[in-house]
Amino acid sequence: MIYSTKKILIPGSLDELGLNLSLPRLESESLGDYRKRLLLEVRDPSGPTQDQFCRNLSRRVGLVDVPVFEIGLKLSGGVPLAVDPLVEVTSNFLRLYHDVDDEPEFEINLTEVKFLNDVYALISGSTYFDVEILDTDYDYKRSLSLRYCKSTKFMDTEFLNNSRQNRLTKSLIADIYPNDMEAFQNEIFDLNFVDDGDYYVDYLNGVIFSKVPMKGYLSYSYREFPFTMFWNQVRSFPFNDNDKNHRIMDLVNNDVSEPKILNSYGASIVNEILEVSSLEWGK
Amino acid sequence: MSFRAQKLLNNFPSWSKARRDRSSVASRVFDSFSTYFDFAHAELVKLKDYNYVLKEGLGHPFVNVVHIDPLAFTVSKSGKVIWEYPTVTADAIELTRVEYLEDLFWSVPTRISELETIAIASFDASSGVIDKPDKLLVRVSGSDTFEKYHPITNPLCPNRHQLIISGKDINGIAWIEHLKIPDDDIYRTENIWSEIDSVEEEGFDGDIELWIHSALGTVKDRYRLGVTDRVEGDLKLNYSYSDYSYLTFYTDIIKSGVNYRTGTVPDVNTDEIWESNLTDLDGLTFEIVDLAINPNSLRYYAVDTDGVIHVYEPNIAVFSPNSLPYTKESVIEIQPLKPSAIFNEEMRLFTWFEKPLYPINSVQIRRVSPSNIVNYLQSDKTWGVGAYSFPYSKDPETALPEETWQDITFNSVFDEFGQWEFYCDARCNGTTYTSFSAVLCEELRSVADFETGLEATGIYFDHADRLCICTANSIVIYQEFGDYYLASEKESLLYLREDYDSVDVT
Repeated sequence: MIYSTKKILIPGSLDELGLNLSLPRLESESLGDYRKRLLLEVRDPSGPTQDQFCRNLSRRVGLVDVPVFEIGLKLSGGVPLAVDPLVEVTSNFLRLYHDVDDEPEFEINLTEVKFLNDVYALISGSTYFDVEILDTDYDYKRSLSLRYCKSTKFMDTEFLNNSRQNRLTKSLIADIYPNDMEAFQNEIFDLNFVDDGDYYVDYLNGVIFSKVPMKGYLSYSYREFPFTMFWNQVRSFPFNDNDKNHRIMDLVNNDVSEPKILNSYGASIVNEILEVSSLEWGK
Repeated sequence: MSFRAQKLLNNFPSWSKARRDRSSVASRVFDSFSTYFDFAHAELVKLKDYNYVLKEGLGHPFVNVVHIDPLAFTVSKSGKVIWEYPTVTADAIELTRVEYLEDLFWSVPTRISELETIAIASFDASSGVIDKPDKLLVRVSGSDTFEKYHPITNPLCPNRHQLIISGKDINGIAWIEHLKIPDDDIYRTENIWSEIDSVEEEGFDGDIELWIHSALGTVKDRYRLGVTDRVEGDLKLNYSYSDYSYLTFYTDIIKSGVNYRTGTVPDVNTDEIWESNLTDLDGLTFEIVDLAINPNSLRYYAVDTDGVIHVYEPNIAVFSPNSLPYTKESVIEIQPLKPSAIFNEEMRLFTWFEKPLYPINSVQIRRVSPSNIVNYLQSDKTWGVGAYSFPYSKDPETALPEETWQDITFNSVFDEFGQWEFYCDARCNGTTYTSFSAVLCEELRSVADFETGLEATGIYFDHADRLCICTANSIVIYQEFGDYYLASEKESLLYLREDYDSVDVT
């Protein structure tokens, strides 16, 4: 007599670890893949922040995001050519800025440039950025699946040594927010300290000097370069992202091209939202 | 024979036969139950890593269940229930019934199947992208000095001996691993690496090699303890070939480089425990290329020059009781250089006038081969069929007992698998005292052989417990299958180890 079988997963130590990490094993998942997923969760943990949510969605269904491009800064004499570089991937756009206060060097509409090989072809000729390919199979991956991300990061707490000089773990610092009011009173732009409370920040290399020994901790924002761009297997982005309008609204040309009216795709999304919550919203 | 039995025997004095001679009665008694300690030790090693996400040996992920009609049974006259088990065939393969759950998961694999082939540009993983992300093999060799803290001569020494490896892990996350290096040896990284950026050494001056895998001639068995009558430590295996492939089990005498690598290094730092000759399923010889240990079943897997994988249950043979009688009290003992021999090895043996209480009149030395052929040591130190008695050194009527016999050395060639027995008959004052000692030329026969047809250069188990065969420029990954089933009589269930498309139960 012919019988069919039913698979029963055997609980092991990895399942116990997965229980602690809220990552149960999937039915068809091998223990090697499961361990890889758990390791990712341990070293790059999930969390409530927007960044963590976007990073960690794929692993919930047993998929792992793929690093595709690494964007570095072109240097001249050891100094980046870009004054205030920024790379951002929004819901629909990829933008590369050499100076945040200026127009982007590249602004690529990911709904129009469909594949990553086209994206690479556009940005590889950048004056300010080096682009390295990390995934040899990148060519026909959808560009719209690039992970929602930004190269500007924030370090919440970094403790300082009780010293007049401290090297931060990150470089390419944008701004610092110290809590030691005694050492950080007056920022100067060379190393000729005059008064107690004078301090100097080497923003390029992430080194801080002060006349009075520092203590406590500080927070700071920095630019993460080389910056790795990931290809999401399960992609998410904030619904209040401004660039989202390019997908769900039609452009109305009144001398200024600006998204104005919901298109059919946008209407269907809004209807789904209203089914869940009928509160009036938005513009 | 148990590795841990020697640990118990080391409680005896160092001169005692129990501690020195593994063929002694005491050693055999301890062997009878110490194999369970070996098993328990291995389980404790696995348990230590239970909650460690990067552990070796992931276990078995699933079992397949089949609901069948209730099994038929008969009841014997003594009241015992005798079940009638069905014939189970799955995908045209007849499954073998096992009694216990452990046997269902960990019985000898019945077949292997190629999963994937990965091209490898270079097995050297010292820097750059690693073609097959895995835990890396690290060899530290040629160290002259391990730095040691001293308040006057070396006050700044941090007393750390480590490798600092930085790179990216299997998920592309930047990672740094500090690998402790107590001495020149072969290690495995804990992290699974996909790219190496840098490797720095701290506290020693040896040469560092990182490999995806390489047949280095030595494998460390972390699940078993290496114990000799002098030292104990990690069990290591050296594999070689000479007529037959053979394994040498040994352990290091001095474990820590900082204790002896101070500019000069002794020639020998190993203490040999045992040697086993390897044969295939049919008892034939092969030339070994590499050896690996399955982290789940703890079996040894050897690959030969023809690409055939041989699977071994690593149970070292036990000495058998003597085939000829010997006396309770002995005067002269025969001491072999080692308790085990490689096939066709010529080994030196020694007599030891252990108890010079009685004057010696004559000494006869007998040897019994595994096929029960008795030979006598002749005057020219060769072996012959005729009995020969060595005369006393000085007249026993007038000389002191210790002057009547001068210990001798002689050789024996072990050209047959099995237990070789040595008897020494010492005649004193009309009484013959006979001692017994043995040497085992062990044949470790494989329990399964699998042909791959590859020109193998290495074998290992990767981070996901898959069997990998290395060739010159690729790694071929295999999956092992065990076609077994376990019947649950009361629940009318069959548990199958593997996935099958259809299962036929008759």
